[in-house]
Amino acid sequence: MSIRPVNLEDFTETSFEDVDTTTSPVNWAKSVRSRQSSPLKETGGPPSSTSSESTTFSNNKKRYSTHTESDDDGEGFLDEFEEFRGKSPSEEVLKKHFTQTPLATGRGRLLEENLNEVDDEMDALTENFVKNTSVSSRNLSGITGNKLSSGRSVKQPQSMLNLRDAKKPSFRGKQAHELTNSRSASNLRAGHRLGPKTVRYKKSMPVLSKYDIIREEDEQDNYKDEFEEDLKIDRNLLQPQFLSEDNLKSPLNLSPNQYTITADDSLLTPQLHKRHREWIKPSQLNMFREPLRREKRGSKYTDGSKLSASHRLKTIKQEIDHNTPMKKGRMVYNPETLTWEGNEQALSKFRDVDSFDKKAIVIQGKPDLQVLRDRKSSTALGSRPRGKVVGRMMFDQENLRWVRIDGSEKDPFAEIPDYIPAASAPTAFTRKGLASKRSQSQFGPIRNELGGRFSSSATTRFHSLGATSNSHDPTFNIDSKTLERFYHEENRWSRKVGGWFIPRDTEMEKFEDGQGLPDSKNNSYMYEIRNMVISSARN
Amino acid sequence: MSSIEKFLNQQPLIVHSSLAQLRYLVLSEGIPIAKDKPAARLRSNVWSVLARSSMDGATSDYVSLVRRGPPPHSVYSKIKNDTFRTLNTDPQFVACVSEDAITRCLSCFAWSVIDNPEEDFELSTYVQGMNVLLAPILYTCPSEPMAFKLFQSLCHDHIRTYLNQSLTGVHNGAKLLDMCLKVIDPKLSKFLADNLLTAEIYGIPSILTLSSCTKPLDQVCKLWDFMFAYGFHMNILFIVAQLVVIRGRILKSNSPMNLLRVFPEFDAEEIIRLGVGFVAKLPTQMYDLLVRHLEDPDLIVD
Repeated sequence: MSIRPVNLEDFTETSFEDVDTTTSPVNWAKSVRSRQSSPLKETGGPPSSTSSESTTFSNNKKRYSTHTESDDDGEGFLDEFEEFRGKSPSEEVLKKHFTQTPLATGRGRLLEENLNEVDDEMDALTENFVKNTSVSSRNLSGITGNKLSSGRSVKQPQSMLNLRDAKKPSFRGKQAHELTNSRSASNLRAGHRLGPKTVRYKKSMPVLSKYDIIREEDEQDNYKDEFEEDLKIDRNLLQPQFLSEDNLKSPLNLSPNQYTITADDSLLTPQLHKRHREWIKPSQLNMFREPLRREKRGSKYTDGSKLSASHRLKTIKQEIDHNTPMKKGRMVYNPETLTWEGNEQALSKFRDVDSFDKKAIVIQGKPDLQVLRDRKSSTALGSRPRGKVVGRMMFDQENLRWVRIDGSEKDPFAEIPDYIPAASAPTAFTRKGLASKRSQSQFGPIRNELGGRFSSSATTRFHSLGATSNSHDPTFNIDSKTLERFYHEENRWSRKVGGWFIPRDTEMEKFEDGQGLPDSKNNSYMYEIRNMVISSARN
Repeated sequence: MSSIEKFLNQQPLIVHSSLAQLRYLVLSEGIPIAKDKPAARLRSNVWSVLARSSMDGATSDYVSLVRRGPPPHSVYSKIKNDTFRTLNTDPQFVACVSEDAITRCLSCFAWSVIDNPEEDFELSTYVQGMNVLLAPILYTCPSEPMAFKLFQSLCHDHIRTYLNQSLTGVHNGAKLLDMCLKVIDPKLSKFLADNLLTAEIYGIPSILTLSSCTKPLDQVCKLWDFMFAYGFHMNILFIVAQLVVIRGRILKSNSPMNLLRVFPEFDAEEIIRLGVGFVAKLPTQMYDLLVRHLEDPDLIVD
């Protein structure tokens, strides 16, 4: 408070009388504050020449009334703006008020700027207010710089303006601070519009630089040197399923130690052997080498002695590995055949899977599996002699299928005979049908001579069509290609219009007739056309 | 993409009101005549939506019925007796739909009727005319299972009185055809009556097959578009319309039955326009009867 008279003085000094008496909120604070306690303060209005315009300002007044104590200052201040606005904030008006000095016009432009903001939100207005006050102080500082610091410090606890400042201290404070710096009017204008934002950007710049993007770019080489080892470790830490086959096979994935080794099978550890066979030629490896890395390596080991030493060490170590009989549990590594031995029995089960032309695996393993299962059930399940139980399902070992424990299940395949006529099966398999392809890849195109039954229900479904007692009548044979088309069309249908058949709202329930489909039994739609015709005939 | 297709591809928010909109689109814009497969798909999709016939599981149901082979001999021989001549004068249809497909669908329908006997109401396993009734559906639907499902829905839900043992609905429809013609075109009605030509004599095929016995098939499909939308009772009025279109020739003819044995080729839009116009001329009770003759097998029309 005490500073305000001082401000006034300053303005008089700079021949800003007109401006200051009308625009400076300081003045209003001075004059209105005496009757601030009156509830009629709004209607009372500021004692100024703007009374004629005050009606148009009512809207703003209302908004300002939410702003508690600062009303007085704000109103007065804004009424000033309103005066300008009412007379259209043209150059003339401004000139009339601010022709004296270039500084004045600058200020006038600022005011014009503010005038345009009159209709803006509450915050913007307060912001302007703050700016103006600070501008005035800036002007002060331009002339009597020594009073600035004291003025600001005293103003602070004074009013809502400063309370609002406290709400957004970050940029508001900064802005005020910046405005006090000597800036031209044009700068101010820019600052007025972009001020908060530019300040914010400026503030965020150091934060961005914290991420060291620039530094990393500058020190790329160092970075690579430093983190190469880490990167390798990272790759090793990855879960196997995230590494694609290509990645595993990629020569870049091999550590440098591995691909500088002489391409001699006998020198390699068994673990590396299989993979290495694919990269057997060093020239091939060179093809895949990253140039950068090679350069770096070249520079790193220019003397060569280090390389050969480590190389030799590794070669020796591998030779030792190679000649030492390896043993893990019951498994023994045979360096001659390059295989592990000791699990032939277990492997025999998989042999038929690899060589595709034998029996279908599920059927092939049947006797073995049964033995296993019997043992399992007798030990683990004890009292249950009939087979494996998962949840409420039990495995029926005779028919090789899962059934419900309570037995209340109708066999969907009951009518389907378990055998495929020898004639029809191969022709069906040679079809390019999707389903048969799938079954082929899984089970191999073979009928089982033991059970004579197809192991997959899918295959059964797709090939039993021609296998019924009516197979002599070609009319009722649907080949797999046609069947595939049928399913395809059905899928297409449900993609396109399936949404029309999903009961999705309560409204549907009214029309539901047990089937969830409205109108199927409701005949109201049959009267629709009549209603349309009748109503159109009336008009 | 036509607006119907766009509309159809959107999931309806409220099915009931969306159906009304779809009906209106069918009436106002129409579905283009199927020149290629996508257009046929659109039509069959519209039909299935309008008929409230979901294709969900259609293929597996159909396949399991086909797997059972031909129905009992008495039925199958009737079916086989008719399938080969189903619209056999329409080269477009013959090229598009195989006799086997007709046989399979009709056999499956017979099986489905045998499997699910309804106590109060008995559908026929097969009656003559079903093959022709099936023809536009097989012609339009992109797959047999969908055609079968739609045919089933049509027979069970929409024209079930037509397909019982005694064809009650069809005969009621014939009576209604006479009544409607009398209201709409008294002069023509009197002329036909004077020649002892009742609908029972000339109208049964068109009634039972929902006009699909008339050529061309593409126009039949357009007629069906409308009837799937607003109800198959309109078929009676469309038959009246077909009569009215050729009334001049009938009135002049010495032997009108020759004209009526096979209706001449028609233009669906003209027939629909006329038929809808006739609705306004019908008394409410008569329109009620038109609706009910498709649903109530015990309806007695005097």
